[in-house]
Amino acid sequence: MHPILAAAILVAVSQSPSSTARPRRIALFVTCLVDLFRPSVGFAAVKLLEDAGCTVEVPPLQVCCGQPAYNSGDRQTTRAIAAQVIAAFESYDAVVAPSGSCGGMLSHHYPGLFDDDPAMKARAESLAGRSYELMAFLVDVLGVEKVAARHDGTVTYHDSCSGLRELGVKDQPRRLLKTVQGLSVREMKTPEVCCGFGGTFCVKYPEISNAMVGEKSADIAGSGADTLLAGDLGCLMNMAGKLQREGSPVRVRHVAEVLAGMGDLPAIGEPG
Amino acid sequence: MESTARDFNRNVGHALADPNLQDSLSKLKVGFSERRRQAAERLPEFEALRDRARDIKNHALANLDFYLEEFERKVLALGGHVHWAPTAADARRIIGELCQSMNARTVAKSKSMVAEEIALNEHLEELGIAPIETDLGEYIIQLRHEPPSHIIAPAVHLTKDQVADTFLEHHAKLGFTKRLTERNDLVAEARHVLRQKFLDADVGLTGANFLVAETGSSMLVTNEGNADLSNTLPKMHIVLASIEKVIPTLEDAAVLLRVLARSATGQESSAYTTLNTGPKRPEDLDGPEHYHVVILDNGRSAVLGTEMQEILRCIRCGACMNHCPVYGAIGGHAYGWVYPGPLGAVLTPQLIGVEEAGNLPNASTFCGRCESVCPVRIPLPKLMRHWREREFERHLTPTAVRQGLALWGFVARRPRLYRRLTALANRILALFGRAEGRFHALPLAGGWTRFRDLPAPPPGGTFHTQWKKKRPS
Amino acid sequence: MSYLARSNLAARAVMAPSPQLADYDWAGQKMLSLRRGRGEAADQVSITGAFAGIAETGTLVMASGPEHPVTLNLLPDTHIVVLREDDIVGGYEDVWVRLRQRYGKDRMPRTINTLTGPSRTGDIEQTIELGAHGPRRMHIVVVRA
Repeated sequence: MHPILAAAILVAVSQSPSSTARPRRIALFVTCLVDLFRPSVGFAAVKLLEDAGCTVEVPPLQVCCGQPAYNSGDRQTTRAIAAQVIAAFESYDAVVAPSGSCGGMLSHHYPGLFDDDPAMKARAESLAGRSYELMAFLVDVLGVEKVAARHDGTVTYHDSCSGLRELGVKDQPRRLLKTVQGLSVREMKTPEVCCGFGGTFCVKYPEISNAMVGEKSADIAGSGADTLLAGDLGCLMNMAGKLQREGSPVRVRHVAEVLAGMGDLPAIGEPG
Repeated sequence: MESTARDFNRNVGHALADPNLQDSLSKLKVGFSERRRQAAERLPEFEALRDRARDIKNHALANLDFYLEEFERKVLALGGHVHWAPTAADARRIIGELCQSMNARTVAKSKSMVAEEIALNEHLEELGIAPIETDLGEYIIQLRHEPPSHIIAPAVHLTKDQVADTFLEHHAKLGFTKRLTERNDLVAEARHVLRQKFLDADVGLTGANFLVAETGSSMLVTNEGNADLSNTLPKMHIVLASIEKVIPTLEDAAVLLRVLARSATGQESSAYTTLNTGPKRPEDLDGPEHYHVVILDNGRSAVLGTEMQEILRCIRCGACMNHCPVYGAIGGHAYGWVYPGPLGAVLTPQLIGVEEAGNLPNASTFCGRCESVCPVRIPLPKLMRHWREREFERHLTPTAVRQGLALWGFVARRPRLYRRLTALANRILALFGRAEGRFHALPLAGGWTRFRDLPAPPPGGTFHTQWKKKRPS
Repeated sequence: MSYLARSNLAARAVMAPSPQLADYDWAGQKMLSLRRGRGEAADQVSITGAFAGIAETGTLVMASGPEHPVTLNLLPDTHIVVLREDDIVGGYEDVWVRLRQRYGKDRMPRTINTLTGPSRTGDIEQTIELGAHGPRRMHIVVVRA
């Protein structure tokens, strides 16, 4: 198990009973895509965190986590952006992102950017130890066991890659979804297989990405669910775009929206 | 092998349009991964074994010169020979000369990816020596003049019908004039044809999964038994292996075998695991009189001590490609050289140059499934990212991408400017996407909208705009 | 013998020239014609002993030598193996210990074949077919010591 994950679970075990009574100062890392394309995910995250007793702030100087540069091999730009993110967030008790991909960037990749700069590396490691994906934070750290929400229908859940394999996000969203009234989960055959988004991958290699998301949309259709949920907006936009291009009736939402009782908003890619 | 890695995008186009390939890949995607999952679940200590396997290979790599010398000493002591081949050309020359010393007309070959790497067959043919591939998959693709598309299942891209056509075309002159429709008949026909070739071969050439320093043994794993016939019947046995195959002891081999078969095919053990140590002994009734081991470097030692060293842990099980959604979409040939999938995306730029193979480490979503199943825990996405960084440093990244990144990087480092621009973009997208909630086409977003709609943001502004209004601090 | 008759095979076999196998009462099988030596292309049935059996994976371990030609493991269609119960060990590691004891640390036999079931291939459409190259049938007779 990754040490950070282990630490998170340790914190969860030792603090979960009292943590809901003791609000913490949480910084929301909104993420670029949520900011630009789906603000309701950010508000859903805030609601879930506040319902769990947290004080949530949105540091105004936050930008992107730097993944586009990082995954394109531009280390210098990535470091400059990471330094800025670290400065914007390091005074908070925890940083929470409604994304496994951006959360994983902070918690798993930032320290390695500063191997030649011990002072920055220490700051990056300190931030990494306090950075979480939303679902993992709610369940593993805050000990949230249920949500007060209703959503009528059947959903299928796609495990976004970074959340699943870097951060161990798998059961947490499913556990919370089970407590949503009126909702049932129907698993697709291969929820753990990548949807073909991959950040810039999907526009650099559109044919391969299309083959991957085409297979994913067939799997989603095969589940019989009327709604697709996941925890990363990039994957969700990719799958929603493909489903809609194919004329599929499946509606697509971020899992936080449904858990926060905001599942009646127009779905991703639907007119408002 | 001639590389077409430079034409990756064209290869991808062909692969996606090939119905036979897509049919084969749809079987591969469920078959291998499901069998591996079951095999791993049946062995409670599997994850701990992966750690041990990683540690064994790390130790061997850290002491590679010592274990290679020890291996050589043991081989010599038992009457075998060791040849060091710094380059592919050296290995070809050494093997060619060994075959000529036997006046060889045919060489029975057991599947060897290193032999593919050094383009051995072409060289032997130039010398007038016929290489006979004896692994069924390799035999099929040799008849079809195709390269392997997978490191453990070289003909995995073909359907049964394609194999039937190929056999009819090539075996008719041997008297097999009926087109077969059943798999077991195809296997039986190949067995019959190949058996005589084994008996006639002057030299047997095999690869090696491991070279065991303790005993000077080459260890080889197959399911068919073709390697055993190759290394037993001909008068000379040549082992071709690369430097990173050496491991310290037989006990280390046992650990690696436990993760190898399970990761590769989901078997607890392959059918044949063979240790060969030197030539036949004077009192033996069979076995080769001559035993030669050709140890190839071909750029690998340059990786030692660098950030890329971890790729040398690879034990060639194929799990990374079996679980790779990109490999699953395009198959092995699209990668354009010997090693496909995530392994190839890391190793190919090292062996033939990142200028030639620059697309390979980029054509990944970094989904991490390869790393999650690798029996020796190679961080494949991390190593692919290293290549992307080398490409960026050397200005090999396409200009449009560099310029886009530079512009984006400029904005992303200026939060206030960034906020103003995203607010503007949000307003424009929301306005024009209002009617339908999404875009079917959008300027500069053709890569996205060619195959899928782009969801538009709902009206109301960015999150930060709305947050400022709702919660003025 | 009755197995060979049932399988419609000639009562002819090639047997490893090992003293251990010679101890069994072969003469009692009147119709069985036995040749002792290495395997040849025409051989249909071979009978050999085994150096060890591995319980972990159901694997036979064959050590080459004048008493056990390698060709007997590979050429015939049917391979009958006589395995002494005492020689069944837990895992590969136990085999390595026995090998070092028997042959000395620095002198492995030319070939150690470990066999786990009959020859197979999945090279056509990933569907397992038996009998790619080696024996199509393997029978293990476990003999109590």
